[in-house]
Amino acid sequence: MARTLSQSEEAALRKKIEKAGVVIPEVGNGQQVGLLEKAIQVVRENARRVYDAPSKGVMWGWQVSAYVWTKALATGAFLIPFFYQQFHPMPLSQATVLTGLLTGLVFLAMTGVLLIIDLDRPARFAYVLLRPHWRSWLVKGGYSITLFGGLLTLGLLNQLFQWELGGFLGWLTALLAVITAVYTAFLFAQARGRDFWQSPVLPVHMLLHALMAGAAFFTLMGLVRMENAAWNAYLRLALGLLLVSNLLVMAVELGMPHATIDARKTTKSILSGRFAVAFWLGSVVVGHVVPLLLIALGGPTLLALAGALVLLGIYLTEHIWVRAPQLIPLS
Amino acid sequence: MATNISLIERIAEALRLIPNLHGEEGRTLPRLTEPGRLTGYPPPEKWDDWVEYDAIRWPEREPRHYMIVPTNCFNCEAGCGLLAYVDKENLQVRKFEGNPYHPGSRGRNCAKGPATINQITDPDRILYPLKRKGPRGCGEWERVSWDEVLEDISGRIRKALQAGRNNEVVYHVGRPGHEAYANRVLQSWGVDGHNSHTNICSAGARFGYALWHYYDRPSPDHAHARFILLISAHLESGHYFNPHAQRIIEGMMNGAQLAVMDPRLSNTASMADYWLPTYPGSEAAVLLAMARVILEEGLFNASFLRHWVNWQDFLKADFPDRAVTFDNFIEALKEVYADYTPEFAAREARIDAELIVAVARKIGEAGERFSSHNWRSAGSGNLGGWAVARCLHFLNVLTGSVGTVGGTSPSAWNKFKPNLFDKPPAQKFWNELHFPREYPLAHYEMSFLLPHFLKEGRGRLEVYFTRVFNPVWTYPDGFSWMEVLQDESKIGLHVALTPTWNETAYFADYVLPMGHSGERHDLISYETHSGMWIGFRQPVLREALRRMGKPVEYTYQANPGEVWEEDEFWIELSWRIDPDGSLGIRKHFLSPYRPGEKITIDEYYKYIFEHTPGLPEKAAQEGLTPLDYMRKYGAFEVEKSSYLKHLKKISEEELNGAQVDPETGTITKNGKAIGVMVEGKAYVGFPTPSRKQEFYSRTMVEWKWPEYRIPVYIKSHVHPETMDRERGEFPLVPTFRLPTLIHSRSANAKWLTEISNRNPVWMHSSDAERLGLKTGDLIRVNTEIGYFVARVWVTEGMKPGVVACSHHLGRWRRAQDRIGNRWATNLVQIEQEHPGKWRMRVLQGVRPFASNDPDSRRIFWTDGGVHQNITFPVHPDPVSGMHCWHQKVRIEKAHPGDRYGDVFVDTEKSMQVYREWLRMTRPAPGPGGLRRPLWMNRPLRPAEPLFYLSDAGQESDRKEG
Repeated sequence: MARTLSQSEEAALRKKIEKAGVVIPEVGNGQQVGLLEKAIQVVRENARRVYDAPSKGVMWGWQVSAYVWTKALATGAFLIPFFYQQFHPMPLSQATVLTGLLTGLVFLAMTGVLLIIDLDRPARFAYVLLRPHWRSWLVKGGYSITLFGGLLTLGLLNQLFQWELGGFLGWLTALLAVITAVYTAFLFAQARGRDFWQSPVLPVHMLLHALMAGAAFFTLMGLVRMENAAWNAYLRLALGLLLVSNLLVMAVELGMPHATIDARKTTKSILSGRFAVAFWLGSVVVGHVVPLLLIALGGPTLLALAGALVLLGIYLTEHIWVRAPQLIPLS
Repeated sequence: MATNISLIERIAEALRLIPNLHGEEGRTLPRLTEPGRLTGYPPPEKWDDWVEYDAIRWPEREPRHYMIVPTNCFNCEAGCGLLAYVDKENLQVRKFEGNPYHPGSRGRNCAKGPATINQITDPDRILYPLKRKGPRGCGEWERVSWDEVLEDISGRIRKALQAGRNNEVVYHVGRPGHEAYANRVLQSWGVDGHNSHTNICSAGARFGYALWHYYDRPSPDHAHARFILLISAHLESGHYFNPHAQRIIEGMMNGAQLAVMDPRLSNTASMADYWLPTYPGSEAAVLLAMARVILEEGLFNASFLRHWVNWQDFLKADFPDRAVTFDNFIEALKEVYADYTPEFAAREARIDAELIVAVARKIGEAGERFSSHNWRSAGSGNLGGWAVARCLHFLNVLTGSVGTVGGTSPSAWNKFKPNLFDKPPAQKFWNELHFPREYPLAHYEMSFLLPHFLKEGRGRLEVYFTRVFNPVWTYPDGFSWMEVLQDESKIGLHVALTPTWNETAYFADYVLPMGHSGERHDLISYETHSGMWIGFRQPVLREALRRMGKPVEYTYQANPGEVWEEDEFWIELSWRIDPDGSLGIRKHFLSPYRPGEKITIDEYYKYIFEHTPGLPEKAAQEGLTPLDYMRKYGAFEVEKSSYLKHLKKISEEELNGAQVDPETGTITKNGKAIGVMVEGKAYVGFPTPSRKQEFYSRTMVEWKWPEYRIPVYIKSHVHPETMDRERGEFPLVPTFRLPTLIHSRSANAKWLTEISNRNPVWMHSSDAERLGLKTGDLIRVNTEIGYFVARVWVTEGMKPGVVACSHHLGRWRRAQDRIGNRWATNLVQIEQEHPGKWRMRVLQGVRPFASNDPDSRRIFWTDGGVHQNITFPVHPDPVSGMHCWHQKVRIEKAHPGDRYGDVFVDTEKSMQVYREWLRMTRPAPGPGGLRRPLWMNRPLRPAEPLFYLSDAGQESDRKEG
């Protein structure tokens, strides 16, 4: 059974195994031939250990990708004008500010509805809030959505009735918007079996998507109502920078060396597997490259078209990011 | 209770936004148990009215009142204890849990026990007696009354008995329940009509053990062992899964080590200290190599060998020129087994020689505390598989661990034999369909050859009962069974006694619903450990009604629909077969308590329990009658532990007129061996001709198998020499069981089917690479008579060069059949293309369906598995009569047009294979014109004259052609 390996053979085997991140246990007398061979087979996934684990398919369906999308829009619609107001001298019209607040509220409400649909029973959502289990990001997220919604309402009333609540309210709302935008990354990471979701850049990815969605939304609004030129330049610059950043983040997410087979399988399914068309054509070309070209070409109509494509791209990307890891068998 | 609750939750509860789970309301409800302590089981004094909250109504705390009634599981042979929770309001069984008063299972159960509730509530179950309409197998049925059923069947049996056609009345049992009961009924009818499933199950192992000491099964004392060796698939294949598992763990917790021989990494093997993935059929070689190590290294128990092995016979026969001394015996042993080197065995088994030596030393060191077990597995897979148990027991003999604490006892020492109220005389018939002269040593009936015998015209059956028995599906060559069952000239009336639809019942004339464990009476006792117990299976609703003061006359009046039980059925049937008593049957069914009247089922058990040693006294301590004690607790421990029963002394009185052989010490009286003299003391010994462990079997010499007179290794029909790897040939191990399924009776249990619902072909990754296969690929598995199309599962849990496919799955129903077992059955189409050429194709797998059980809509599995057994020819071992299950198969990628689940079989080829194996036999008569050795066990033993071919008077000796 245990044949002797030549030194070079063994070195080659070891390298292969170590490259795959598998630790070979030490056993007596340095006899590792059998173990080495076994480790190779495990690494190559020639063997599966369970045959009748039921595949229940994708448990988080379109509701989840849709709710990540509406949430990105809800938070981005607040954050984009908020940041403009902090750094730009030219004031925004009240209409644009109100549009941001109202859009935030409407899409946040849609987020809530999608969340409830996904939970199947409304009582479950009530339980999330009323029997909170504080280690769960579902609970933290539920509360941040609720608080963010409250603050948006307050901001709306502040605008309408000129209460002059001022800067503190704005910063607090912005903080909640950021938490609301990124918490889903931590929620996904709590699904410990899904290696791809354990990525540390996933929160950045979510925040970028929120800002992209917000900026894209206001480029579309530009078709309805003209705001000042500084705002337009701001949107153009923001969207361009965000798209480039997001491409970099995706490159990191997909290109970094993944420690586990499951994560590698997920990456493969996105880059060259069943999601390849949706990713390369939808997410990269339609969602990023074409909008960047349109932005470079200039003009409000082309900018609005870029915005529309960006919104479509975000949805496609989230669709892939939610589904792909779920299709990897857990055993 | 109210700790760690957030303020938000408290406020929400206070505002009644959500139900209050922590408030005052909860605290005022009565507690069911003392706070702070787990209550293992409800105390028996509360069994008549046990209160539990309804789990489904939570958070409302709705108390439900249950009557707890014990019974015994029916889902495998172990017969573990169950407690049925009968809802007192609607008289429905709510659940089954373990019975802590059962000495075998001690309150614990495997998955199959609690799943009994699924079987009882299965929406597809058969609730009323059915009679076929139209031709047999057409699928048309009509409901009939029990009265009609009894009249028709009893009339036919009566006619057959009156005409002296006693051999045409046969009871064929799949799952045994209470064999003493059935045998008594058959002998009261005067028929040699017992047929069983044993020869597709354990005949190989049984014969190997019987050659040593008459007893044909092992009863290992795992709990006290130092070393345990299992020739085993999963423990389930060793029959006593749950009782054994808990005792093996107990032994291991106390420091015992476990070795498992199995080409497959079973659950048990994965827990073992030593896994020996032996090539199928090589096990005996490995065991003999271990014996050699024990001999060479002096690890044997000289005292036991000297006193309790018939070594004198061996020396005299095989070494006539040597002095008959013990030392010469040991020397001769070493010479005889010199060739069984660890290296030889390692080559045969394809495992490491060092591993064999290491395990052998452990066995030797364990000495008298070496427990071992073989039931099916290798013993049931190979030509000569019976040698596996024989060589395994050789290790027990060498270490002196026969019947010791921590050793292995003969089964009968731990199995109770009830005292019955009446014992009919032995029948005066010998049924050659069961015990044909080609198989004089067959250890039980040649049941799987029944279709072939009928086809050859060796006989016919007038009334054929199949009892919880499904040969069309479970047996090899199921299409031959279908052909014969459909031929009304060969089988006059087929009565299927079954709790659930099965593939054999489709071809019955009557389908009679018999109850599951909580719906029937049986007395059971099995050798699960070193004690001895009886278990009382009882219809729990009937017992609950009795306790409530509403007794019923027949069990079917209490059970769902008109589900009955065999015990009462046999009484009623026997009574009607002999309406005026002229056949002499009726007198065996008279009450021992009310002269002249028909016995009731209560009286039957009352008598047994009143005559069970220790039970009346135990019952009296609780102020109960023995019957009421068993009704209350469901089990009784007859002996706490039982060891060394061969050391029972023979009284002076019995010794009067007996002779002692000065050389062997064997004591004979009136020409019969009755004991053995050891160091001046007379002991009963073992019930063999020498009253000792028979290392040397004169029986084998006398019955024309001299080459097997001592334990040797026999090459299997799947030996590597017979395989051409280049052609894709493999030995297929088709016997391994899944611990959560029953042979062919779990398709009606949703929980069990949910756990296991596929049976891919296991193949090692190196073989898969060689054949270019990966997990999930469709393959065609060619047997000698046809093929099946399955999926491959690539795994390292399988020995390279060997493939395996689990039993249990691939259940089917045809479009015309009654809907049944939809949790697990494939809808199939079966076509006979040409005479004998059968093709089966799966039309639809398992699908969700609408029923009164909401779970039936939630079926997520789609795969009903593949029916492999039907593609196997019969392989009757010429000695033991065991069907040798392993198959030489050729594996290839599926052909274009092949679909998953496809089966093709040529039954003409299967007849050819049958004849080839038949030619290997060495038929009776044996010495003195015997049909079979008198000293060996024979189920439903006929009167002694029937054992002699010449004296039988039934028929003259057939000329052998």
